[in-house]
Amino acid sequence: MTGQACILEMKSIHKSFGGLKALDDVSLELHCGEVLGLVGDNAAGKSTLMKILTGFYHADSGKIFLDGKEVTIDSPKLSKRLGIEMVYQNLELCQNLNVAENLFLGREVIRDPVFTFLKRKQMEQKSIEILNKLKIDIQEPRKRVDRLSGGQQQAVAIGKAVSFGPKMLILDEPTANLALKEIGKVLDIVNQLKEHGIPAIFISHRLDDVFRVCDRVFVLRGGRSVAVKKTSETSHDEIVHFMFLGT
Amino acid sequence: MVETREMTASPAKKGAFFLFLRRIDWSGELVSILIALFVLCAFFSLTSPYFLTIKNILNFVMNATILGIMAAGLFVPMVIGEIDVSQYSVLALSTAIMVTSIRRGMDPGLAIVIAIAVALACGAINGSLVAFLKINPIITTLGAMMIYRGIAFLLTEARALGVTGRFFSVIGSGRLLGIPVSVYIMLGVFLIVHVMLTFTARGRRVYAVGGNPQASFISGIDVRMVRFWGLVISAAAAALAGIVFVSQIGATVPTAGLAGIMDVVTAVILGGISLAGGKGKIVGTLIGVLVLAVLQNGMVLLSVQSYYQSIVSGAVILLAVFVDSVRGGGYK
Repeated sequence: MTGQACILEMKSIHKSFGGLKALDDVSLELHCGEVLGLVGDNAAGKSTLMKILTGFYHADSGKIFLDGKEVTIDSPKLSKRLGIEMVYQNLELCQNLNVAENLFLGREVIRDPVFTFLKRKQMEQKSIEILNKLKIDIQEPRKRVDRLSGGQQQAVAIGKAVSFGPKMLILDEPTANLALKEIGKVLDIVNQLKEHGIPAIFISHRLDDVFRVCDRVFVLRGGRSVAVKKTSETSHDEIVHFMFLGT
Repeated sequence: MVETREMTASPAKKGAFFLFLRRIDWSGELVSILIALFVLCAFFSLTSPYFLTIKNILNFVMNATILGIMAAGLFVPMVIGEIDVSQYSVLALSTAIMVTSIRRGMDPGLAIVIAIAVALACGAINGSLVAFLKINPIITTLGAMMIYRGIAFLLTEARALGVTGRFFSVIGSGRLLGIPVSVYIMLGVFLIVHVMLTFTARGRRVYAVGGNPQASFISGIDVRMVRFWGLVISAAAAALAGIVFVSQIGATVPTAGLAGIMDVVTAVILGGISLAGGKGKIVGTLIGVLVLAVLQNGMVLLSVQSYYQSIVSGAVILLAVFVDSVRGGGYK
């Protein structure tokens, strides 16, 4: 599914906080259908770069192209509207609601616009369809999210993002704080994204995970891009070298 | 043929019964408040021969209707994670306007509409301060409580003002199938809140905002509007409770509820709501209201001095908050 056409291009992005240069001339490309690993040590600029893409920060200079068209992303709402979905590290789910309610939060299926009575059965049925599409094994859409395992919760979060029909996904440390068995399941879901042709940026500190699911790796160090490598043409050691010592 | 039908009907009925039992969330809070209610009823029925009489039960349930209507309304902002201590003041102000208007010759129907509109305006002021100016709900509603109460005193010149009329006598002392009309009103309010919170998108968003406002915001929910409407709903409930209050007492009283400002909050917390928001069931609040009603009625029957009653009420508040804290809803 991986092609060379770019779904996203960030060109010469600069961002400073006071005297601190957080991003210095960073250019990033995401190709159609690929999973791009975004790695770097703490304070490398990964979060800042993604916050610019999701409209939480504004770049001091630089351009963003989506599907070849230049876009100005000045709010998280606009980023979402442009088809950029982010799955956050701290799980943006309501623990007190069930799976179906979380998947449809903010865009519930309703019978009428006045009283907003829910079409629960339809929501539950669609939830199963969304989860099955990504081969997520949760058959009880009425189960409360706080009763799911960490991996299952992450799966629901990814399922929720995918259900919006996004152009691309940003996965922020989706395997952090998970047990080994759970990590495998989440990575399987990321591979499913590739099968469905949904491009994704995969932010992680765990290089094992990056090499299991990513087609290319983009390395940031001290706010500068130091390397972009195909995972098939590089090694753990080389990436670690880039992350901590630069070029 | 008959035998076959009986044999198949019985397991089906059993199945439905078990399904019903399984659907009830037997999590701690609901069970513990039910046990508290039964223990209190058992204690007072053993210590007072009048407690378990139909007359007394109807009496204390009727007395609890004002508290109950307000508690059902307060449940909504408390699920969102807010609080409203100004309800009794909204009641005093809206009824003061209603009664003074009627006494000056206004049509009672119009006066009632104006009273409700005033209460909604009070709720909108509270809601705006909390949701849009981000002022702490307890500080907002404490300040609002003093302002609304002060206006009520000014309007009534600190006197109880009587009012009569067929509408008020039906609500205040009318009965349907032997049960006071005000009890039906209270149950109706609980039912409406339950249906709204359980079966509508707006209701589920109330729980969503209470559970995780950040996730709700990212999902496209207007968190500020949900918070705003929460406080409007509690004020609307106060207006309705005010109409029942005037109907039962036959007057507006500017000091209404001064002795038990925290009763409504206590009833909701007793019902198992989390002070942190996002959790709680409206049926728990109904039981919480009954627990307070039983407690107050029982103490009166046992001729407990009013000072002791105050101590017991305070202890119940602290106990309820302590239990909430143990469940993880405490101050962080």
